[in-house]
Amino acid sequence: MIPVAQAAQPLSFWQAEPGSTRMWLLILAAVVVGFLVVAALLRAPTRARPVIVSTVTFLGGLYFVLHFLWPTAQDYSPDEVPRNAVEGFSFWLQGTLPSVTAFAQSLGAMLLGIGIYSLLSIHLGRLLKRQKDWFFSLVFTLSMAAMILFGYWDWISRLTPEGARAAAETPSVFPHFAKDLLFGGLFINMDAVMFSIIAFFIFSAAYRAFRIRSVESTILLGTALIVMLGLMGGVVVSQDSLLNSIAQPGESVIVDSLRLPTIRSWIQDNLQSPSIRAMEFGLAIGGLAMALRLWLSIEKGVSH
Amino acid sequence: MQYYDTGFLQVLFVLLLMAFILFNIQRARGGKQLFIRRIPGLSAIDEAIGRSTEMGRPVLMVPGLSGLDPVGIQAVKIFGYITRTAARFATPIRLLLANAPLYSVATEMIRDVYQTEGVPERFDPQSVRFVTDRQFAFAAGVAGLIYRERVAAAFLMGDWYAESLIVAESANAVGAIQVAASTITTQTPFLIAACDYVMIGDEFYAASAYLSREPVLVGSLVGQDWAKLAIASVIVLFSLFGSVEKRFVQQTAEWVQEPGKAGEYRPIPARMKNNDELTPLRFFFPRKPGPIDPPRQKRETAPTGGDS
Repeated sequence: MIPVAQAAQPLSFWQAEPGSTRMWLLILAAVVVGFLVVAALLRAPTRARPVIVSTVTFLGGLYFVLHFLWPTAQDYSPDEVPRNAVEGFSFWLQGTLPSVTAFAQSLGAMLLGIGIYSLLSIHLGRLLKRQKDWFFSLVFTLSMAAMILFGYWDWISRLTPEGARAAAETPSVFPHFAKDLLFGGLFINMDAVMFSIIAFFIFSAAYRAFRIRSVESTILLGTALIVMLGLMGGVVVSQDSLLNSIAQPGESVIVDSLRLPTIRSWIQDNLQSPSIRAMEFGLAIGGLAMALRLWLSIEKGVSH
Repeated sequence: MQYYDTGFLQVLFVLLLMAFILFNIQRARGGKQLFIRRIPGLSAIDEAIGRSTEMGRPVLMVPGLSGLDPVGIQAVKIFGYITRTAARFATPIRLLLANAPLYSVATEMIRDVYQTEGVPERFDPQSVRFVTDRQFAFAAGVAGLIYRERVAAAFLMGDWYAESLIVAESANAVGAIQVAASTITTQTPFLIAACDYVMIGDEFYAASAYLSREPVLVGSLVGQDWAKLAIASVIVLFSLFGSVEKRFVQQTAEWVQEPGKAGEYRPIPARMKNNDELTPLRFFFPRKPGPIDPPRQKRETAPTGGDS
């Protein structure tokens, strides 16, 4: 699906027409404000920094807690007048969510710059010093530069409605073709190759796991064997024909209980699912506790 | 009013779980000694680092695809404790991340560990690396580093998805000791198959308390156990209650909700209750008959605040 410029929407202060001068000015302003905030934090007294961080963390967390817990109207529309104060606050929470998440995205984008700096410092350093495997660093650096160049070139050319239409009608034109070749033609396929390799890794890991080394691994082997056999059509049909010669389905509880799909379902429904749910309960509670400690700033660093 | 969820009990229940955690943190802060059982995967940390030190190879730490969230922070905290031991023995470390914000935080935390241990000169800024935020490109990058540097120990903890086996099997191929924990339950079996030690479920969250014995973390862990006990109790009690209700109480009215109209109970001939009509479920998802709210008035002009 080729992204195209969206039709004009009702705009707030924080939004701008795609490709407009205002959009570029807002991006520039976000970068400048971001650097100013970082500079201000660095100049803040050391004692004040934890207080600032704790306060911002608490307010940010409080916003999302309220957004989650506050009753949400089913049919919210920003051009409607809320019926009461509860709805009014709900409307405010829902209306401000895109702006609040946009702040988080801006912060993430700035930190991505630090990530790219890390990559470049490692690979350019290796290139310049001609260290071991410098050729891979060269390939990486050139690939990243090409993807950034053609990616942005393609994105900028699609920002205006005319550009988006032209890109959709003639995708073989240079910047779009180059980006599609790099992303769709190379990157996605290499991604798929890595995914496919998992099949071989599953095979080698399963070989090691399914060896009889202890009581636990023997139980694992037996259970996995039953589940796998219960999913194999040929095995199930063969076993069914054998058991049908003793009793037809529904005639004997004992014979029906010996059918592989029945045993497999019992294992999955009564052993596997409860175990996974128990793990997920534990993980959810653990996540809740961690989030609570972070929100209330009672989580300490490693060095404390 | 018309809202999706009119039940308040589920919110109260979550608040109760939060209260358990905060109460136990306070208890632990007050000096109360709380017990944590042994976690074999964490006991193996020293052994793994010792092996790396002897072999002169790096210790690899990867939080999977974790972002700057509770899972990512928890993973980096565990890596901080591992780094502390590695710093004492001058064992090289490699911390590879798939999330740029988490990379920024992790760099500072690891630098802080070296400073606290009194060996800031041993911190190599290139030991903490952002690889990429694309799943399989990240897996390829991590696997490549494992093979090139032949790591002696690998700690894989955090949000692991389909890339888990690529990394775990690569580490196994170079003979690394592996300790893993995934918050994604579908990946836990793969890690069990491929790794030497695996922390299952919330043992991942127990790790920092186990390693540091810090009162806040130990109290929080005990609070988590209380919360799990509360959930288990609710499941058992409500299962029993629902079973008895289904056997002995009959349904004599049916809930009807027509589009655009208020829901109501209408009389029906007595029959066995369906699962969604059992009282325990309706505790959490109550149905309240009542008049439907009138349509809202439209604003005369488009709102200037908020986004559409």
